[in-house]
Amino acid sequence: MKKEIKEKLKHLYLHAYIIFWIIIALFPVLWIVSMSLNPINVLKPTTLTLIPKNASLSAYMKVLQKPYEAYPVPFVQLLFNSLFVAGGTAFLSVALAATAAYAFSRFSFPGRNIGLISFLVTQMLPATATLAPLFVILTLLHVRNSLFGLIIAYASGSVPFAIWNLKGYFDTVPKELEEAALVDGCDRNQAFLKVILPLSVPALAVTFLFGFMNGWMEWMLAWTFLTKPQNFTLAMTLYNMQGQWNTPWSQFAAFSLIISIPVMVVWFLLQRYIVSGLTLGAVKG
Amino acid sequence: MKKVLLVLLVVAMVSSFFVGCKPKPQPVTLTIWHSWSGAELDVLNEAITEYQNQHPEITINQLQVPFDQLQNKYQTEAAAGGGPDILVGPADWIGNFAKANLIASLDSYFDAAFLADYVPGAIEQVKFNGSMMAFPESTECVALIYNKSLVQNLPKDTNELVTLVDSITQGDTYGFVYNSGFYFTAGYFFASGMKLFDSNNNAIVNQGDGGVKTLTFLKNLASDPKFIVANDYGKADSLFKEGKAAMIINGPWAVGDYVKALGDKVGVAPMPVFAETGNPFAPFVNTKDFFVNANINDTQKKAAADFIKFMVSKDVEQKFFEKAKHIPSNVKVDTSSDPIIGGFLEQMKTGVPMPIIPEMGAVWDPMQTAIDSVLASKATPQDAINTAETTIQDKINASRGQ
Repeated sequence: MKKEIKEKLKHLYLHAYIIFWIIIALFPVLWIVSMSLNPINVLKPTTLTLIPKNASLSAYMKVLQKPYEAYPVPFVQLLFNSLFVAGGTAFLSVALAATAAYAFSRFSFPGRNIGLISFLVTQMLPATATLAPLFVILTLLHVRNSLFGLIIAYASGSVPFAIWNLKGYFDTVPKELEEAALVDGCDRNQAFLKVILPLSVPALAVTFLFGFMNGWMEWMLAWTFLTKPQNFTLAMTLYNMQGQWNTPWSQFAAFSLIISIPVMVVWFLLQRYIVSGLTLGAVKG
Repeated sequence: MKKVLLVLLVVAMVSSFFVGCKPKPQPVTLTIWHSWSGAELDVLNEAITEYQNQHPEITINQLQVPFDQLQNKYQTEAAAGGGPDILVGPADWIGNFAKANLIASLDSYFDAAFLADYVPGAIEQVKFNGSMMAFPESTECVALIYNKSLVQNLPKDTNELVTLVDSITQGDTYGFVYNSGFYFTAGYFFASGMKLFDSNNNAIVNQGDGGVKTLTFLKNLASDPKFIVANDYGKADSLFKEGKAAMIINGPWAVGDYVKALGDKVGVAPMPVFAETGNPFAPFVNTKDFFVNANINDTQKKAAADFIKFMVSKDVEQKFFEKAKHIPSNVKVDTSSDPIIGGFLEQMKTGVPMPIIPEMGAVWDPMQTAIDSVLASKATPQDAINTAETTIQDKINASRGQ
C-alpha cells in the first residue's frame, strides 16, 4: 500500500516536472500562434491572449497564396526548392562525411591529424567569412545562381562538422566487428557498407538532420547567391517579409509556423533511429 | 541615257528595301533591385507596366531583396562585375559604393532644367565629391506621432513634454514611449549643438557640451517612471498600435499601419523644442535613391537614366505619395491632401541631411553605446561621450588604414 503511494507520488512529481518544461518550451510557440492570428501586426502585445481580438486566419491564406510578394512564385515551388536544397545538402554531407570519417577513424596515413584539425579550423570561421570565396568559386563554376550551387555551398559548411561527428561515432564501433567480417570473406568496402554503416544509423541520422536543418533554415548565402525568384526557398521568403522598418508580423508568424512543419516531420521520421541504442551487446565477453 | 536609267532603276530598287523602315529601337532589358514592399511595391509594379506600354522595346525586371541583405548583395555582385542596372537604396550607401566604383556618376544624364523641380537639399545629399551619384526619389525623417484621443495640446518644448507625459501616464497607458535609438533621438543631439564631423571628416562629438546636455536630458527622462525610454522599436510600435501610448517618435513608413490600427486618431507634428537651448529637434533627413550600376555599358546607362526620369516624374511620385506615403523629392507633387505627411514636411524644415561619407558608418554603434551606457547608469554623460569620440575616431582611422 505504502509502496503504491510512493510510486504514485513519484509519477506525480515526474509528470509535474515534464509538464512544467513542456509549458516553458511551448510558450514562445503559443506567442507566435497568437501573433499569427492578430489582425493588427503587433510584435510585442501588452496582453497575451491565445486568440486575440478580431482573430483571423487571413495571414495564413495570404502567405500560402503569395509567399513572395514581389513575384508570383507558388508556395509548392518554394517548398520543393527548400526540400531539394535541404535534402541535397543532407545527402551530400552524409555521403561525403561517412566515407571520409571512416578513413579518418580506421586508417593511419600521413596528414591524418593535420587534416582533422584543419577541418576543425574551417568550423571556427563565421559563415560570413566564407561568403566571398564561395561566391567567386561558384561563379567560376557557373553554378552560383542555382540550387545546385546552394547545395555545394551549404555542404561545404556542414561536411567538416559531419566528419568530426561521424568519426567520433565510428571510433566507438568495435573494430572486432569488422575484423570478423573480414575473416568471413568481406573486403574493406563490404565491411564498411554492410557492417559499419548499418550500425551507425543513429549517427548518420543526426548528421542527416543537421545537414537538413542547415539547408532548410539558411537564408544569408541564399540571398547573396540567387537572383531568380523561381529558385527561392521558404527560409528566404520568410526572411524577406522583414522590412526595413515595417514587418507584417501576423504573416511572418503564420509563415514561420508553416515552414517549421516539414522539419518536424523529418525529425519525427528520424527520431527512432536517433533514440535507439544500437551496438549495445554486439560483442559480448 | 540608258546607263542613267539603269542607275536610277538600281537606286529605286535598293531604296525600296528601306521604305517604311524607321530606325528600329533595339530591345533593352533593365533589372532593378529594391526592398520595397506593400503599397510601394504596388506603385513600382504599376509604374513598370506603364513604362513598358509606352516603350514596348524595353523590358523591366524587378527583384525584391530584404533591406538588410540588399547592400551586401549588390556589393558582392557588382564587385564581381555583375549586378542589376538600377538599385534602390538610402543615400548613406553612396560613400562606400562610390569609393569602390560600384555606382555610375549621373551628372551627364540630368540637366539643370530637370533638377530645378527637385528639393535642393535632396539633390545636395546625393552628391559625392561634387558628382551626382544617385537620384533621390523620396525623403524621410522622424517626427512626433501622437494619438489625438490622448493628446489635446501639443507640447512646445521638452519641459512641457515632461509635464504633459506625467499627466497622461496612468495604469497601462503611457504618455510617451521614447525610442532611444541614436537614429531616432539624434534630433536632440543636434538641437543641443553637437556636431559629428569637422571639415576633415574627423569625429568631434565630444567638442562643446551638446552631447552631455542631450545624454543628461535622456537620463532624466529615463529616471521619470512615467516615461518609457528604450531602444526598442517593436515595443513602442506595439504600444502605439494598441492605443496605449499617446506619443512616439517614428517615420512616415509607419503611418500606413498606424492609420489601419487607429484610424483618424493619428496625428504627426514636429518634436518639441529642446528647452535647454531653445533649438528645434533636428532629425536626420535621408533620401531614398536610385543608383545606376557602374558595370553596365553606356546604352544601358542611358536606358536606366530614362527609366529613373520616369520614376521621379510628377505623376509617379504623386502615386508614391498617395499610396505609400513617400515624401516626394519632386516639388511639383501636390501634398496638400494629407495633413499627416504635412507633419513630416514641417519637421523636415529643421532637419539635417544624414552625412553620406563612409565615415558615417563609424558613428552609429559608438553613439548607441554612449546612450545605452548612460541610461543603464554605467557611465556619466561626459565619460560616455568621450568614449564614443575615441571609438568613432579609432574606427575612422582603421578604415583609412592609419
